[in-house]
Amino acid sequence: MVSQHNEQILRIGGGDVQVASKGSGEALVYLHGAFGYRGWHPFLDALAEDFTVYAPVQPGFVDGAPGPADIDDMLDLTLYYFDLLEALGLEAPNVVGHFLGGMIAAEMAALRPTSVGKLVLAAPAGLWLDDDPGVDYFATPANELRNVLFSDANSEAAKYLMPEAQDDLERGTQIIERVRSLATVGKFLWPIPDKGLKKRMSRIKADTLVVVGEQDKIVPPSYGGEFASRISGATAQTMTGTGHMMMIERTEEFAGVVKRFLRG
Amino acid sequence: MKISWFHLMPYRFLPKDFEDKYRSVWVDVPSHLFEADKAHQLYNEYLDELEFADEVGFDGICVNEHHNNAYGIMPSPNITAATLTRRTSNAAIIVLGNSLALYNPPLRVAEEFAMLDCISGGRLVAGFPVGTSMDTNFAYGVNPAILREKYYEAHDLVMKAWTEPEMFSFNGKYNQVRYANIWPRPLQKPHPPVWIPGGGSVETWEWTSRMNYVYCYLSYSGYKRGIQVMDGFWKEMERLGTDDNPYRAGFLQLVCVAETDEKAKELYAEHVEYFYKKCLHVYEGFADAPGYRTIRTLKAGAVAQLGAAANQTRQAMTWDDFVEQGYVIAGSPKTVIENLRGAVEGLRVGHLMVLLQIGSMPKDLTMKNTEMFATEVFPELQGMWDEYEDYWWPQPIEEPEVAGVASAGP
Repeated sequence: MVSQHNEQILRIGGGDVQVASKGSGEALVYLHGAFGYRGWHPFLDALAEDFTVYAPVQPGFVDGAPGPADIDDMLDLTLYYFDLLEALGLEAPNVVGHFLGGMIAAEMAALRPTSVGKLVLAAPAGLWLDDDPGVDYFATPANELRNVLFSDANSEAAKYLMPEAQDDLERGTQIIERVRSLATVGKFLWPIPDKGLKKRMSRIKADTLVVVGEQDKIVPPSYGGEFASRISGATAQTMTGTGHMMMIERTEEFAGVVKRFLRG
Repeated sequence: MKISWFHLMPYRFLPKDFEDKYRSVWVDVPSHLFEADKAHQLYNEYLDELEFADEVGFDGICVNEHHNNAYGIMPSPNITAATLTRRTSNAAIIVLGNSLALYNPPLRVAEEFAMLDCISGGRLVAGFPVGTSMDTNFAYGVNPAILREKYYEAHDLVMKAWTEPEMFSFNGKYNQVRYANIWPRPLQKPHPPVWIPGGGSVETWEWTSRMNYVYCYLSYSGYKRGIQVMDGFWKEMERLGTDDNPYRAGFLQLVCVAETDEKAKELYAEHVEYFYKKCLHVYEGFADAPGYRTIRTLKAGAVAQLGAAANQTRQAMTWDDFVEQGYVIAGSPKTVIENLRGAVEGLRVGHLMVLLQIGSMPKDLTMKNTEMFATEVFPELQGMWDEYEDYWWPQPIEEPEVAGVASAGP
């Protein structure tokens, strides 16, 4: 029987932020990516077995919450997350970030190396390779998104995250959802995600693991080595049998990889 | 009533199987399909056509801006307009327009428009579109999340540069200029008339009304669909307490004139189909970058002209459908006059823009279409809306100068 997680709302920088939390032990902050941010996912339960997991929803992602109107760039966004850690009373928690969340985690660790414990960057955004750009997810229509996000678009995992719309209302909601998420991350990643992180990454002192999915079409696996080579002592690991949404597609395995690294 | 001749400058030589073989005419249209020697021919014939429109008496000639686009090879309409200022003497030069958020600093637009206004003797209409998502977000890389904010700031800077009597400093979010002081300044005072092309969003209507600008609905779907949108526009004007002067509005309509309705089909069908099936073949993923439209507009169900659904609809349509549904007004002068008069009344537009070079239409046919429109259709419509004053038309000086050495003749 899986116990419930807690939800709290904190006021940061003039806006509300939803933070889900669960578990006990060392703190672990999970920063979500462009997709699969809603609610709580089983991989967080698995992490909560060993850690106190905090999972904030990035402003702009939730209907009704103020979008990041005063957050114009990565510096603003990174400062926002420093404020969030402070509001949660966390000192140097482990940070696990997916995609934009991974980029934020890396920025935090670069700007203020003492602000984080260990880092896990899962399919992180923030670098750009001319010869391996990945699929342009901004130009991927809603009905093709599942193909881009998962190694198997017809898997249970894919349907769990992006169920087949049953009617026009659901279809409309999904379209708006896609626009809201991508417009929010697009503010920081459009049109190419290289926003200067590469200049700052050498400042990162945290023990860092970079995890990439072998079939990730958005952040191709070559980015694992690219990130790891720019962070002193970092290692890169490629997970097989998964695309971009590795924590949904390979829940147990992903949680295992993260836990082993953080405990090690 | 003012009738202006609009050129998109399409590339006329896309392969027959273009829409089956490639996913988009815009953004990632294969560059190997572009042949520069053919473009040399096209630019020259298109400029001839625009100059001819002036010669046969059109009130204005319109040019616009697109990027990475095989149906509009005019990334800089200001270059086109510059050649026209020297080779025409009567028509208003309507640049629809410069996508302000693409210029850094947008003072460049203030300067170039001021140059065009001075060279042409005050014949310029200044158009300021936000620009399509394909042009701004995908081709020019502007972040959709900030596009509109950047556009409005650029607009404010341009207007201030035109109207502020003294040099000033501008501390914007996207533009910081310590010495804003453009040379030259526009000939028309306080500034050239401003027209805003838009896609039917309420926010834009509110803004154009407040600024007292012309709103132009540039649609390729014709007057029958356009009337729904323009109904919304006029209702909004009423709600805002703005008068109903038809010259507040502009509309673009495709028109094909021939001796008879049958002859029109025979002459123009293939070119109209080229336009709708090839020129508007845009990959759905490029039609609307996330953040380009507000969630509010999306929820209001803004109808996209581009994208998968629209593409499928058009691919199945033929000449008869395009004419029947009003995408194109085509036929004998009598048919065209009747439909166009109904369209202008239904839309309530004082600034009609007509697209007479359509898709793959060659020069001789474009000239024929233009001449027949000018001689047989134009006079019948000219008097419409005479009871209203057009406050949004250029005020040129008497007998402006034109090219001195080369003749402006045909």
